[in-house]
Amino acid sequence: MAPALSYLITFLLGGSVTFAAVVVVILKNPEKVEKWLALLWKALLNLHLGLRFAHKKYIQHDFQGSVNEFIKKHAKEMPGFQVKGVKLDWVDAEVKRQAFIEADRVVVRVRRDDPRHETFVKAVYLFVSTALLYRAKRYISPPQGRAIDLFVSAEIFKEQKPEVVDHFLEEYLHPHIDDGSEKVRQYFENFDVISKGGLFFPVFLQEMDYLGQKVFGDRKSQQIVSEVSALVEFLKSLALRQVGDERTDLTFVQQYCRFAVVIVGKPITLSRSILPYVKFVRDGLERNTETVYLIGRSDNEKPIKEICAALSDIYDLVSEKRMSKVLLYGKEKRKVQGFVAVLRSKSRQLYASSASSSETL
Amino acid sequence: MTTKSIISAVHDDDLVGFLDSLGVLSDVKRGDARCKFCRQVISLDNLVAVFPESGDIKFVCDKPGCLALLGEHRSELRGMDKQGRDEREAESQGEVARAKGHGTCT
Repeated sequence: MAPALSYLITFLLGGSVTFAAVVVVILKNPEKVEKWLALLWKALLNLHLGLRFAHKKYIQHDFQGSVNEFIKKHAKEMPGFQVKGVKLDWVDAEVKRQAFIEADRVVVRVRRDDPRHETFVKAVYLFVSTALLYRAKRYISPPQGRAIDLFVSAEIFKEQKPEVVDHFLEEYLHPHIDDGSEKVRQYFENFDVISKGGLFFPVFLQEMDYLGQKVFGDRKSQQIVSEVSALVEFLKSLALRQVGDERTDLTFVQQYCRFAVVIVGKPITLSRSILPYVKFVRDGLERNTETVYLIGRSDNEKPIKEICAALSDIYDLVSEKRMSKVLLYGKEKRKVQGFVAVLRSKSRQLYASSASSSETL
Repeated sequence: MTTKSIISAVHDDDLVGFLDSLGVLSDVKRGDARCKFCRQVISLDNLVAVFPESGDIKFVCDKPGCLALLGEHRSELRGMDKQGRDEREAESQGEVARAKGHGTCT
């Protein structure tokens, strides 16, 4: 074969492989592509090329890329999100009134001059407040629901657009205080503590999702509101637990939320066997415990998975996730990588009336 | 997780034409349109969102608290079954009738 032909074939094959690799990366990470497109349209916008079209494209890809990246990254630990992503659709003068009414969608106004990213903030907040835990929010109090929306929105901003966090909290958290809803701020602050302990997304939101799936009946029962309030206090004390403290209560078994946290961490116990943990979950927990959260450092991922396997006759493994958390050693705080596995009882209660604790189907 | 959530948006440059196509531009220009949640008069300057309800067009002003109420309102409707939605819409129509009785427009 002539050297020139050989070089050509090598070049084409190499090019094809590179092209295929690029296509695979694009298909696996569409949200990254969205963010690159947003940067491209922003550059064109700065060059004053096709201003309106470029502005719309920039807003669309910036919003979709940021939110979808967050959802993809946290999907396993955010069971309350009932959607797999978000899409921004433009409407204009072509929309007819009847079609608009039938489509039943909120249309958000996008300002041309938006130095503080107000549109991004409003769209994300609206998305979170309508897509997150909408079943559970029927039963919890407005301050509880609003604090959850504010906290999750703030987490999205912290990760995807940190420059808007201060403005968002200033505009959206403080006005609620002025409205007399001090409770929203208290819940928000408690969520921050719970989140630092690695418990907000994998435990609190998970329990809220189970609550929304389970409860039916009257809206906004005081019993449920009180229980959620107690749940927040429980998780806060757990997040502030000192390493080695064995006095903190690790079970929360009430009318709707029935779970236990098992900390898999004692090196001496683990070095011998996982059986003490298996025996504790089988025999040591209350009979009506429906969910077990096995939590430990990421070093203990393997034994945690073995414990889950050993309990597979009575519990389904519904999710497992690595997360970062802060551990307290006296006054010292250490950020470590953690691992959580969520086990769901096969004999759990499926439905509960919000009006009565005894009514079970 | 099931589907992608769709957020609709209207660009500033398309806003007047969009409101006109919905038949509410003159209401907004006359000051007859009000925020569903705080009853503030809606103008082209403070309008932040538009949505349909009970066959009517509703407006939301640019107060953060009103956007929060919009999210809660839509979330509440979304979490309801058909019967709950119908009941809520009937309540909403009652609110509209009472508001009109007080000389306000939604």
